[in-house]
Amino acid sequence: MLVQARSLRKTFRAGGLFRRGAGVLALDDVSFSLAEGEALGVVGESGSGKSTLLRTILKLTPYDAGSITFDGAEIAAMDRVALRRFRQRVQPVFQNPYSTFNPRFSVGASIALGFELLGNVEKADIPGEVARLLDDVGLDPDLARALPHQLSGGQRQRAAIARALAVKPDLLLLDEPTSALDVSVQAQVLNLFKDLQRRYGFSLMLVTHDLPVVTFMCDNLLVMKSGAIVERGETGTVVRDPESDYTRKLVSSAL
Amino acid sequence: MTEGKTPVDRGSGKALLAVEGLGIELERRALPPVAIARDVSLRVEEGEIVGLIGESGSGKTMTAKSLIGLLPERIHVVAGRAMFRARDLFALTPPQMRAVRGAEIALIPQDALHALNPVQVIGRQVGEPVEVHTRRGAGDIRNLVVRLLERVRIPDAQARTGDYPHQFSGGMQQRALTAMALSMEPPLILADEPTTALDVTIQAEIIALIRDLRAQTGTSFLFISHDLGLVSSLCDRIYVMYAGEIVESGTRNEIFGRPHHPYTRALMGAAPRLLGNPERLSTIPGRIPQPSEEIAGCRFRDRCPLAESRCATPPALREVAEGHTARCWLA
Repeated sequence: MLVQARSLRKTFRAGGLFRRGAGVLALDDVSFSLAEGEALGVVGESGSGKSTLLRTILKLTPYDAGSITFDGAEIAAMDRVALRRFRQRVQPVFQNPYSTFNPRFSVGASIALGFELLGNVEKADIPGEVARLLDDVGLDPDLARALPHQLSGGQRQRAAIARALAVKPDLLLLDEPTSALDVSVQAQVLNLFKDLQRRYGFSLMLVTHDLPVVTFMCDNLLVMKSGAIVERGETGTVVRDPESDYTRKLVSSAL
Repeated sequence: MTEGKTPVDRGSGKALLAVEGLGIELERRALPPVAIARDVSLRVEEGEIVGLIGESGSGKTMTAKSLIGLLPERIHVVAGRAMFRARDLFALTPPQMRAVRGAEIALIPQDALHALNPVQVIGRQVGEPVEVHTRRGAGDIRNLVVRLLERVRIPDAQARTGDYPHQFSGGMQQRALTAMALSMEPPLILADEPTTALDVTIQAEIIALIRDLRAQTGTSFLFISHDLGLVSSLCDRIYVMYAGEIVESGTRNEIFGRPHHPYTRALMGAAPRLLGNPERLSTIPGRIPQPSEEIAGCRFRDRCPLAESRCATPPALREVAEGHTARCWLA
């Protein structure tokens, strides 16, 4: 298993500095595993804990109890060297990539950072590698010179994918990657994820509220509600024959 | 303009709104104006829920805003008329338009939080159209507001009228805006992607609410959306917009059962489905043209898999079946 989470628990304290509240249980005894090459979908509505789960796996949000291992190593116990390697092997792509690009860096320079950090490509070869990556995600290599604000929403999301792929990740974590895109652009980006996964062989975890996107992309599915996993299984099986009331409601809302 | 005359939409019922040949342009300094919408004709009958679908930049929001005189600066109606209750909306003076807006035609905007005033309590805002358009007393308006909030299913409505917008969830904000739109019981409501920012189960609630309202009060809706699934479940008739033009129109069953325009078909193939998805989604090559791009002939020609030489001449909307029109030579 590439990722194994056991009994994860996370509470966000409620109230301000001077108030005590009960807190919000964002992750409630969450366990799941993700195999190599698997595409796992996580669906749920706002406040279901799906984004917290993603941030926890990225080690951006610490958890209160439980454990997450990546490739067998506990992520909470990683030393600096291991963490550096972990941050390269796990790459996020967010809903709005604009806020994750340095607005003063050209798109090419942002992507090149990955190669520079990894140090696996000769400096002179970096522009060529950037151009190859841009081509892989269906962008004109000339766009390497463009600034992020000069790209359309769909182009920017492709550039974010190219940047994630530069460090040759084993796991891509996608948080609503196509929610801000038009239907026809969404179709291009979803096809791209599928093609790239086949070609590069990474695993992916896709967090979204959009059930049809998950059924198109993912082998397996977790349904979250109020911080807990209420249903899990093979995507088609869950959608055809939902067991929990909540999943049934989600499925009928999406029909 | 396209050659020939756009066939008049035939409907069994009585037209509440009939837009004919609408043209909207963006004025530019030292440059020729840019067409945002051209030759847009559509009608909404009494008690009908009509869908206007298209992707960003198709001109659907500007079309709706033109009807209530809310076009942004430098964007103008340059052609056409919009008949509503025996008046041309485009010929109204600003004071006349103010009397129509909110009272006879209301808008439910897309982004609920930004549409609400953050420093004014919800109750005051929901009652504002009534305060502006009538001489009803404050106590009377307060009671009405509570009833309206109850009608859009805000729990504990009486107590919540004193809340500020940030104390409402996204779904509740959207419902409050819907209550505001209903306050004068307008015969026509323009709903501009009212559920885009909402969770799917809350989206389903808003849709149920719109259905109920139509059933109870006979309110007509022009429902603007890019969500094909939503439109197919809610709307009686549908107009598809592409690059500033209506490219197809018809009943829900006609549009979804027998789409004629290659763009409509492509859009349907591009949306993932809950079950039975193909290995790859079909995509539309290229991108939506900018309004300023000059395209000779059919505006979808460069992206169309079926384009041929006659597509260099702009096609007119033609009737392809009863009550079903398409702007395509091949349809």
